[in-house]
Amino acid sequence: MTSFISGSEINILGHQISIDSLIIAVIIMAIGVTIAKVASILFKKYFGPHFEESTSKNIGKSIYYGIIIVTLLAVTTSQGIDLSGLMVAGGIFGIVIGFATQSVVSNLVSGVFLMFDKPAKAGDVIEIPTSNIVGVLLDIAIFSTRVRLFDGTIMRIPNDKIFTTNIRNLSKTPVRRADFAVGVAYKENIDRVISEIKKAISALPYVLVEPEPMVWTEQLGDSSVNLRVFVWYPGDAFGEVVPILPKIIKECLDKVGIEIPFPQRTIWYRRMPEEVKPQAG
Amino acid sequence: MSTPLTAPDHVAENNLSKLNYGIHVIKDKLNFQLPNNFISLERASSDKFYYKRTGPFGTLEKLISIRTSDLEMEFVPTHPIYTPAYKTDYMFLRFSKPVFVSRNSKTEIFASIPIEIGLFFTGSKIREYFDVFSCNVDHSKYALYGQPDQGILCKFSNVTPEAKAPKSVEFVHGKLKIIVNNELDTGVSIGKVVFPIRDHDVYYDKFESVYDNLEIIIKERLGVQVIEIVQQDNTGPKKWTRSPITMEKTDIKFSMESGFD
Repeated sequence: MTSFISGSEINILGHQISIDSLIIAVIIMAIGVTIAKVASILFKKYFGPHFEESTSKNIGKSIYYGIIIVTLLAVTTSQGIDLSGLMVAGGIFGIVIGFATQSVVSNLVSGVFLMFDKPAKAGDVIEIPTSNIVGVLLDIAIFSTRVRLFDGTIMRIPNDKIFTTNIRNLSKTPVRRADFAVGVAYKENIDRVISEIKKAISALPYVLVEPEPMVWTEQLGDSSVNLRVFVWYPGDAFGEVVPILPKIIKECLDKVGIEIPFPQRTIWYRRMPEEVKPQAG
Repeated sequence: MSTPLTAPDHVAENNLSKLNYGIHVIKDKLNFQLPNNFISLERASSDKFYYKRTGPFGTLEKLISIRTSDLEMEFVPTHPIYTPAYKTDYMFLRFSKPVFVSRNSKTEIFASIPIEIGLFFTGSKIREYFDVFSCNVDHSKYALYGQPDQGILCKFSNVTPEAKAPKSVEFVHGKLKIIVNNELDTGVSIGKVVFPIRDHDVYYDKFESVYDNLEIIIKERLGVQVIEIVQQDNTGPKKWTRSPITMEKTDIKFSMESGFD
């Protein structure tokens, strides 16, 4: 863009624009920006609470920038600037930019789709198995999604990755199930073992009474009879159940004298008859 | 934990008093004992009290700031949804024996259902509590009604349905009358009742507590047998006091659509 001042006029894109007209343009722009800000604030105040936080933020931003763009168009039109030339140039430029910013556009479009798809809301605990990410969803913004991992760090994930991958929402259901494997010695009475484990885990306040805890024999292993324990618990009580389950089961089995065996192998020796012994030398 | 606790060191046995429900004004010190819980309140300064409760899950200590010169405390039975943590407004009653209701008939059954003990500041309609606890750890249980994806997490209690109003254990149970109305042309067996208990008022008198009546209507809806839950307001005994509530009532309309056997 070339411009120069000639008397009280300025040349912009070959158009002579007067200073007065330019002042009017600045005023229109200022009014536009003010309206955009007010509209965005009013939306957040009166309509924002009806949406999720991230969706509300994004709609607020869209309103703000939408009004700014419309104002810019109004300003250029009011100054008699013909944008048709820019449109043609912009079209070609757009294709170039489009190729260059493919991933940006992809993230933007994915962000919009995620707002409608709503696989999770801010505050939900999510897992992205392919990326080995587990954490609290902070927000889904226009280009990226932020997740607070359990080590306290924030992970920013591009929206197109989120949109095209599997997401496991760990907060969407009222209850969750945990399972845990335990091996006991072959000499033990399995019915007694199951009864003792059920008694111990049922004492935990957050283990659901219905559906009741289940224990079944999963495998006759090399060194032990392997059992699997299933318990249901309130979705937000992970910390009160899952980390302590192995401890409770170990303590219970120790208390009633049920053996949890180490891996073991029985070795049999056989004395070979004299006639088949290899001859030395 | 069913083993009775012994009094902790800070509470002298001879200083323990049995407290009845109601408003109590504490000037300097109060120690009292409840099933599985020992409670001690002692003035710390002109506007503060030390609070200490030793129960099955350990000891809780608080420094309580008061607005009046003495601590005005309302000691009441409240909904059994606060311990070990507030997670739901629903109660799941599993009947120890099913209740059979003949077709097109109406009957009444009674049950002793859990209560928790709330210690509230006196004052406005919706009160602030400074402690809520259960006197029976077996009441700190949860269950799921429905499927894991869309079901409802509930507090759980095993109850015995009775033909007459049962005697309840002080500070542990409250009485509940359930009016069963079978509108079906077939008899049905009811093995459980799930209802939003937070909207259900509790009334107390000295050492006894009772809930508002609960009406359950068995009907068919879109080919499925359901139980419609209707809370009957203001059915507590006259002259008994209504326990304060901690939150505005929700007035939830609830039907058991995932079975009741």
